[in-house]
Amino acid sequence: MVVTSSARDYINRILQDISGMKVLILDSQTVGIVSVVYSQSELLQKEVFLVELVDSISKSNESMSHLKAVYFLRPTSENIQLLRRQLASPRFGEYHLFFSNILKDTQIHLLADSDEQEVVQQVQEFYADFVAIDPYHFTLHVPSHYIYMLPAMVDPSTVQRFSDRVVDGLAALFLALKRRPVIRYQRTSDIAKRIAQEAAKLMYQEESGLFDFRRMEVSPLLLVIDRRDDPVTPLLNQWTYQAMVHELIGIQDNKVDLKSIGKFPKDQEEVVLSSEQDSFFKANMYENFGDIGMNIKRMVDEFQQVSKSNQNIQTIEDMAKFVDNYPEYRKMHGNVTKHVTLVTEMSKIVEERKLMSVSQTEQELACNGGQGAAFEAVTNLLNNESISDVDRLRLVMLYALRYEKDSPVQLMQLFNKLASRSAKYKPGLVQFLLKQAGVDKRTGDLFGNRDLMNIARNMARGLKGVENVYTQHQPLLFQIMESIVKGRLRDVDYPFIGNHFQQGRPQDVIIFIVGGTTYEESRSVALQNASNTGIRFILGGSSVLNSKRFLRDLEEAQRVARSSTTVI
Amino acid sequence: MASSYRDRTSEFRLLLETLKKIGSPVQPENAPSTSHGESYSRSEFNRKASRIGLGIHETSQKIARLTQLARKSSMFNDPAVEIQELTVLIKNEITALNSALFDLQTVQNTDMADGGYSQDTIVHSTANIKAHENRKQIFSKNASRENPLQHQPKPTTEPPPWSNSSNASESLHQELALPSNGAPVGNQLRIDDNMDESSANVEGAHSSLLRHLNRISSNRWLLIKIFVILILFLMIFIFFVA
Repeated sequence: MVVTSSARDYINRILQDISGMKVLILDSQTVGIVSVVYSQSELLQKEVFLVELVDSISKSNESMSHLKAVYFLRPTSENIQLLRRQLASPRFGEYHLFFSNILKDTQIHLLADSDEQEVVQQVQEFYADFVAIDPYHFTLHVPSHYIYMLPAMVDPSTVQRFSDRVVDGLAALFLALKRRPVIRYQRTSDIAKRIAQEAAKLMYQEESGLFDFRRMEVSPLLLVIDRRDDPVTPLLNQWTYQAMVHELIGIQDNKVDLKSIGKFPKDQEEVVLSSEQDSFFKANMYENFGDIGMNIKRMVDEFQQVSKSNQNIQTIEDMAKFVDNYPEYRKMHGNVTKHVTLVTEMSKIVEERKLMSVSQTEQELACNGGQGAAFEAVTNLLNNESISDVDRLRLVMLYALRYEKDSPVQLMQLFNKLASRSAKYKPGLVQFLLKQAGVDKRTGDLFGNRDLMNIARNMARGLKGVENVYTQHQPLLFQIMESIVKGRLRDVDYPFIGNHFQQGRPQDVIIFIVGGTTYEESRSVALQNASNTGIRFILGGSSVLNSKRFLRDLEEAQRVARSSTTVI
Repeated sequence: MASSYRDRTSEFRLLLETLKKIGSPVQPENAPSTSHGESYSRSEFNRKASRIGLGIHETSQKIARLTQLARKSSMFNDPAVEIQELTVLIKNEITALNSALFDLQTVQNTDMADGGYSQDTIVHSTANIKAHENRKQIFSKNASRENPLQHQPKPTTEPPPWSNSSNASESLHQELALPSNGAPVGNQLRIDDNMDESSANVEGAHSSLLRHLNRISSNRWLLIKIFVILILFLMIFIFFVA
């Protein structure tokens, strides 16, 4: 049972039990939930001939009584209002209402009040309220994403909305998995504690009947942690395929938008990069840049073999064989073009921005010691004209996170150099990052310099050397997963909610990162699950970060914090 | 292993039937010779009943908002004042709804003085009785979802005597004995439905307020703990210094 098959099973059941021609009506969130697990051609196979958004469908008045409307909406107040308006003057022959989360009784009352012509056939709760990106990775696309960095007093209603959305997503996930978890949270994060407490209240008090599943041997574990405990992972350059595409171009709901990076034919402006639909991507999404190049070369060679054989048409039999194999050929052609385009584009960006030099220093800052050498390396890169402003900012941020307390004078020198070089970014952003995610604020041992065992491990690794300097970094999540597997996740740092205690090692662990996940962490989770330790990990977050998105969250949080301070 | 889901179609349909009864007028096919006076009286009755239904709906919305406010446990931005205002407003509205129901009974008594109702009215009354029984099943099903160990909070307002179940069964016997009294039985059951909805809403508000009070009490216990720790620390400090 993985998150993609859960969501896919829900969509299957929605479309399978209703016969006849259908129109599927979604909202701006459920369109992402459906599109990552269901393709357009699969929808057509289920007789869905029209897909519309619920807020745009109200603008049209054309009657279509021969179609059956299948609604799949989140149960929000806005969606209920739109649905009421559409039920009051129905355009379709039948209405089948599916909601992705728990409906309130007042919402059912409102809908019944609007169904004057009795067109509603069914009202169901199908708990697919999460975007299942990969088998072990889901996200929620929470709006107002920066708000988790600020205290609740700054904007209480936005914090409440953020928290409610996260709790709704977690509730839907556990209803889909048919489990009720033991909940732990990161002690130093107020938002993680708040989310954990509200989730526990929902699952153990308010809707305890709904979550009362058959008692398993061991309850699963839900661990709510904060992005600010590991701010290094979203700041690093990435060199594995999926993470690299997201860092340099951007992936949204397993789709890559190529319009912003060049001129492409119409059918190639947006390509799908999904492990469920693309076997090459599934085999290579966690490989590093060099291996991807070799594998793509092999794929191109195979394609050229097929292409060459297609060109050799001499007899009627050859012509018939060509016509039979042409759809497969076209599909292969599209796939090869997609991957070659992506890798070519990423190579160009790497060359332009000197990312190999930048990344080498980044990895040194993240994984190895030596403050003097690090300062010299960062200074040299700040003086380099080819380095872009955002790369300079990230280098200074990584240095500041690592050597925050060691040498304030040299840190100020780096701030001044950053200010003189980069007109766009101010050193205040680095200071804001330190205020949010400095060494005093973090729970975990991010750089391996706090725990004796981690210090010894780092010294051993320093002696042994690493096989790939660009992918040596392990996110803090890796340490957390190792601690969970060994049963040594400390209760002081990650306390429990309520009176529950872990009776044994859990078989399922869901780790939710408030503030967003990264594809590097998704790779760590997938590799951990592949190693067969007996524990299965599922990773979720409020969004999927790259460095641009993380920096944007920091900037917005800083702006809101500054304006709120001015008001006070 | 299939994922879990919940079917709320039956809830929806029952609510639909209830709302249809509240809102739509009853149109007997064969009107008697005194159609003018009777239709005037019926339209007044329906207008008052629909106004009561609307009031109950608005009160339930306010109770949902009160529940949402009570759930907020932030130390800053204290919603206690807003909670009190909403509570007073809800109480006033429920009192007004009760008086409106009393007026509705007055209209019903005026109708009962007239005579001569047709067979269709008796059929409508039977349908209303069935809907009433179904509605009672809904509430019993809803009650089973809650924790049986938890005591049901009593409603803050005493329901009027005409909403008792013994009164309903007595009306049923009366219908069997006197077929000409079909319409008063239907009107009586309609009032019962409205009163049941009011009672459910009041119980919901009461349980929400109790939940809020429990949370405040638990916070007070935490304050007491902190206070005891501070006193202990102060005593130790004085002991070592002196």
